[in-house]
Amino acid sequence: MNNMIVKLGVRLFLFCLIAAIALAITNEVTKGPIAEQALKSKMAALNTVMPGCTYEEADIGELEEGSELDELFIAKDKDGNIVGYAITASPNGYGGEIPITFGISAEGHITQVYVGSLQETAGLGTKVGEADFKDQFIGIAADDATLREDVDTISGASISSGAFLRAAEDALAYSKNVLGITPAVGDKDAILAAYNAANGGEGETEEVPVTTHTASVKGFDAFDVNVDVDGNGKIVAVSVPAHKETEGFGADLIADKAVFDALVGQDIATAKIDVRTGATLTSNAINEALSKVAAEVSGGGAGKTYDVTGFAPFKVAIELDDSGKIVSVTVPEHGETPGFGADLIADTAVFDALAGQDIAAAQIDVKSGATLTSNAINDALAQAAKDFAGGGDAAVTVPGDPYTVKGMNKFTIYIELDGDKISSISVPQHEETPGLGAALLTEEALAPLVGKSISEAKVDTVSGSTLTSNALNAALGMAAAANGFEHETEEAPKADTSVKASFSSGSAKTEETKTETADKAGKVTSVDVTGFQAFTVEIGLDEAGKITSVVIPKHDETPGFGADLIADTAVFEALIGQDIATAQIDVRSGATLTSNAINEALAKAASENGFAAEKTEEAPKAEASVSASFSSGSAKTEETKPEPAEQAGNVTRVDVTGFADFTVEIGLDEAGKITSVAIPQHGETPGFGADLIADTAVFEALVGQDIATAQIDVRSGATLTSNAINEALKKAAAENGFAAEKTEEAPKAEASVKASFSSGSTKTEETKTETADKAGKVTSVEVTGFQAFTVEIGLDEAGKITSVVIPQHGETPGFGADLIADTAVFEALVGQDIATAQIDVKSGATLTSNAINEALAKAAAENGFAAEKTEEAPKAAASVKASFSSGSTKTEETKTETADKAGKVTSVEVTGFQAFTVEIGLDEAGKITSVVIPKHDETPGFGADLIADTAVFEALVGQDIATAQIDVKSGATLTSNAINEALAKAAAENGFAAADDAAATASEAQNSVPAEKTVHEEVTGFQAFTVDITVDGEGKILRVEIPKHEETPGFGADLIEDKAVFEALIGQELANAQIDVKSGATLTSNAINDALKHAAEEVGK
Amino acid sequence: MKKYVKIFMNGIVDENPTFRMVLGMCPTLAITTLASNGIGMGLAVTFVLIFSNLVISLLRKAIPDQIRIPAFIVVIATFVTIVQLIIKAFLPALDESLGVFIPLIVVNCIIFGRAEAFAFKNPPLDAAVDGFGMGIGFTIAITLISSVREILGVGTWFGVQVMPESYLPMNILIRPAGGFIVLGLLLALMNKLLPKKA
Repeated sequence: MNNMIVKLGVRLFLFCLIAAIALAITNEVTKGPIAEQALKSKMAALNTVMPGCTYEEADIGELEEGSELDELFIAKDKDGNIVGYAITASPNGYGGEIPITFGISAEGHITQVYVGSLQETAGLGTKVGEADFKDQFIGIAADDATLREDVDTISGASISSGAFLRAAEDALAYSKNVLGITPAVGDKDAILAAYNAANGGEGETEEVPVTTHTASVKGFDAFDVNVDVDGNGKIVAVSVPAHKETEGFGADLIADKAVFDALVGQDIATAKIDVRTGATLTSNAINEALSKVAAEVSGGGAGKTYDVTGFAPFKVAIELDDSGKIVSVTVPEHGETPGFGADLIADTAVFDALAGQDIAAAQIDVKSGATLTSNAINDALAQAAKDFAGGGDAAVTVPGDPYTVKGMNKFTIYIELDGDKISSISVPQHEETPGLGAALLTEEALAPLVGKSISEAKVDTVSGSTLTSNALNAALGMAAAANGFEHETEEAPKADTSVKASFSSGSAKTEETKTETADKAGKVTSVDVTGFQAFTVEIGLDEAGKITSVVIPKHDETPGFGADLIADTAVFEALIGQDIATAQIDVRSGATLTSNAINEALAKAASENGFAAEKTEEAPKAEASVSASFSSGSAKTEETKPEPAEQAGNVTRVDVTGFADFTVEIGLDEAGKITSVAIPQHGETPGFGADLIADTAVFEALVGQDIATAQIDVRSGATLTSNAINEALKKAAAENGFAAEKTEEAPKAEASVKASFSSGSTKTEETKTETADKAGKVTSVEVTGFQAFTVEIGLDEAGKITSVVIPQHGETPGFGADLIADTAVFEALVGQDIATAQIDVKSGATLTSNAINEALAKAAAENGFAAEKTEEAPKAAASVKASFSSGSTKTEETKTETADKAGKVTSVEVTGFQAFTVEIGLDEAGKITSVVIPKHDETPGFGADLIADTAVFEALVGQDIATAQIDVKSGATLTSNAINEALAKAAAENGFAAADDAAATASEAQNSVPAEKTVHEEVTGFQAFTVDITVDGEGKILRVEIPKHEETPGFGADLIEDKAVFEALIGQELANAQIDVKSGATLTSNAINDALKHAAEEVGK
Repeated sequence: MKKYVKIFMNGIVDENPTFRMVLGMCPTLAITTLASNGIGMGLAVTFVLIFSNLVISLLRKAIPDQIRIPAFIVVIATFVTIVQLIIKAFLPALDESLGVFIPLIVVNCIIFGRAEAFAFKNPPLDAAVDGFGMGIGFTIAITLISSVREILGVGTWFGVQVMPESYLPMNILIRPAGGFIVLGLLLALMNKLLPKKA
């Protein structure tokens, strides 16, 4: 055996020796290459992060516990200056270590990160090694505090990227704290360029000079675009170093490398990117930058910037070539309205179209909605043209005499005469409306005048440019006069149809036409009126009182409504030629205020000029302007304010309160017929009263009705509002002496007993029915159901119920509240005799039901309609229902108060498990009429269930109080006994006590009579506590209570809380009473049993 | 020659280490997330198998039966270490992708199992061929598994995107659970397809 072991051992030794030798040899052979490999990868890493330097390994020094940093390298440039540092780290990722090299420049930013071989999960963790992730680090500030803001982890690779970032934070903290490098953001491009240079990246062997241009542009926000252009004008690179464009839109565009890659190689002069939908601003900005750079590159720079004002001031950069052709037109920055002027400026097609045009004639089409902006651009073009033409101070070189006139604005017109012929006429500068007045003053437009006789020279009034036309003519007149020629002025220029009111919606600045008939025979009356807002209407009339023009220069009417009306030229054109006395415009739905104001102006103009319409019997048609239109929820509404211009009409304003206060304006004619009903403003509930007010049909129906009788139907859910409106109608009738006469025919009691309210809401729109007929009377009765509330009962003289209303209440939703909401209930009451009217007690809403019935009874009594005392006792309300939600102490117990005073209710206070009161109703014969327990705290599941058991109590009804008892319910002994005690006491109190012997036996059954004895036993279970044991005279346990204890929760405490345990003791003979020892609560159990024993002894004494 | 063919094919079909003998599960599950891993690992294992089988077969007379296991371990471990050093020194790319798994080859049951079951009892050439066959069989198996996991779990095959861009990779396949699932399914498939073991 020994031999064997030795032999084996030697063999094994030999094997191992040979193996070791083989390994050693291999190791030697591979050591070099392996080290080389390691170095190569390290160099690769270093060269990536700190390209083109020499590297020196440095002692990383003491690192924090758990730091994953490995090595530190100092990178120096060829002069020996420290360029930066490289820190390696190998944090544990998901599948192993992640070798990372961080390059930190001495200037404070991360240059790059290099990731070695990964063992992470393919496609997820391996992403940390991919460019998308690594590139995040390029150029960011070397600050561990801000790292997470600059770099995102990879979704789905939290472990890998998390480990990565932690290592990065370590490295950055190290660089910040140990190396003392102050964090600063670096230039990504420079870093990449350096990398490429050092690593022969792009490998451009040609020394083509590349210049970098930076253009500052504004897309959504301001950003710079770097464009590298080579000597041939070809784009080498385009990049956006930093920007704040919108994620998902402009930012994505900028991030889209394909876009920028596509630019590479293009000619900078023509390079453009496609405007990307949703990133228009950004796209345009980039294109703008390209243009700018192109301009820079071409060295032309004949770009001049002109300041113009569209919606807001902005600059237009116009570049011209030597022949006056437009090279480019750009708007670097502007504050024009998005959607209008801004869109125009963003529309590259517009500007592209300008390229190549002759600056002298170049204009852009005025874009609808962007008139101001369009004009401003044209303005700039004009200025550029002027400049190109060598303009400047044109006034100096313009021939002729200056005449200053006012068209839209003041301008100076130079007219030179040759004899009586116009030899030159020009307007070098003006601010007439581009596209309108301005068009008249161009050289071309004025050309026809040249050569004409000054006496005859005049321009036709151009529609839309009346002011300018007239001014022009005025100037011609002036020129004629100044030179001693006559000028025809009597011929009144045709009243222009320049009632165009054009404005860009949403813009406060509107371009309104100002028509001033130059003809002095005509007269313009300016009337200030108020539609939605105040505005002035200028009405031109001729001597015959015919309207020549209607103009609203400025207004702030609501876009989409009044503003549109004013913009509607057809409306105003229709007025022209009408007799001012009768001219009115149709009231436009939704623009009533504005329409009316315009009509008001017309009327005032008529009267001011003595053309007022005569008061005719034909009352102006009551405007169908009862439309109350308003945007739901908005407080500002365009409500109708019809004011018939005719003084014959009369508007009564009545302040009423529906849900909230509002005013109803009722227009009446002399005959008392309603001409209009309007509610200018209100705060009624949207969806309810507000909808009613919005319902034009309702109001239109009123028009023409007799105010004395006019009422609207009460709308369900909007009763308050409906009633308020009706009230207003009535008041208006009264105020105007049209009040309805008191007729026997009482107004139908409104079916307004609807009590509608939203469940759970305390604010309810309850019906408030006030029968206007004073023959009816409303009695308000305050009652208490679950809570106090008032019932308003309307009765007629015969004592019939006309209405039952509960304006407000706090009854329980789901129970009493539902009852009150049940309109059927109340409708059923209407017409009943108040003396007998009662509602059925609703299960679960007994308190509420009873309260309502109580109110009915009281109302009857108050009004002398009380039911007579009859032998027929009112059926004892089947209201012995004690309904309560289990566990809840607040219960809706029945409170039956028989209105019949013949019955008597005795309240007896007893104690079952807890104290409660039993109300026993008896009739004269001593028969139980009712047994009610309004409130109690008996144990749910035991005593409470008993009380809830209506059968029990119903069984009592009709029994002789002297003998009435309930069966003791198992588990609810205390409660049962208490109830029986109450019954007995009631019997006694009312003199119906069972005869003595009977009483004795009865009292036997009742444990409440004999002498009780309570002993307090102090015992110690886990802790000390006292047990109160009450026995009856026979030594039977009545009660065992432990008021206070500090036994262990979960053990002794649970035992003490276990009511079953103690209830089981009840009725037992104290002498023998013991509880079962509960496992885990032995001390407590024993203590209780001790108490019982001692108590037994004590009592037995 | 036929004999050697038979031995070779044995390792690929009849006694395929992965699908038949269910040996070497550890690397099978761990590295088969990429097809390239599969090939790489398989070839490394093949190399080790051939030479360890060869050496053990050559030494079978010299190794006492009682200490054969430690002897095997020494031989195998040595070979693996040599392989690892060589890869590290001269094939850094392979080292990057397989680096971690190479030491695992030592405990790869295939090698140990074949050494015990075949190399120890057969002439060297047979053993070598057997090693070769087993290795190739293993390579084929794990490449197959890796391919499935890579194509469906990443969308690429040997790094080349093969699934359409819109394909949402079944990520679970590149997790351990996926490995089990694919392996199990392929085992079932192979059971169905491959001829029953004699």
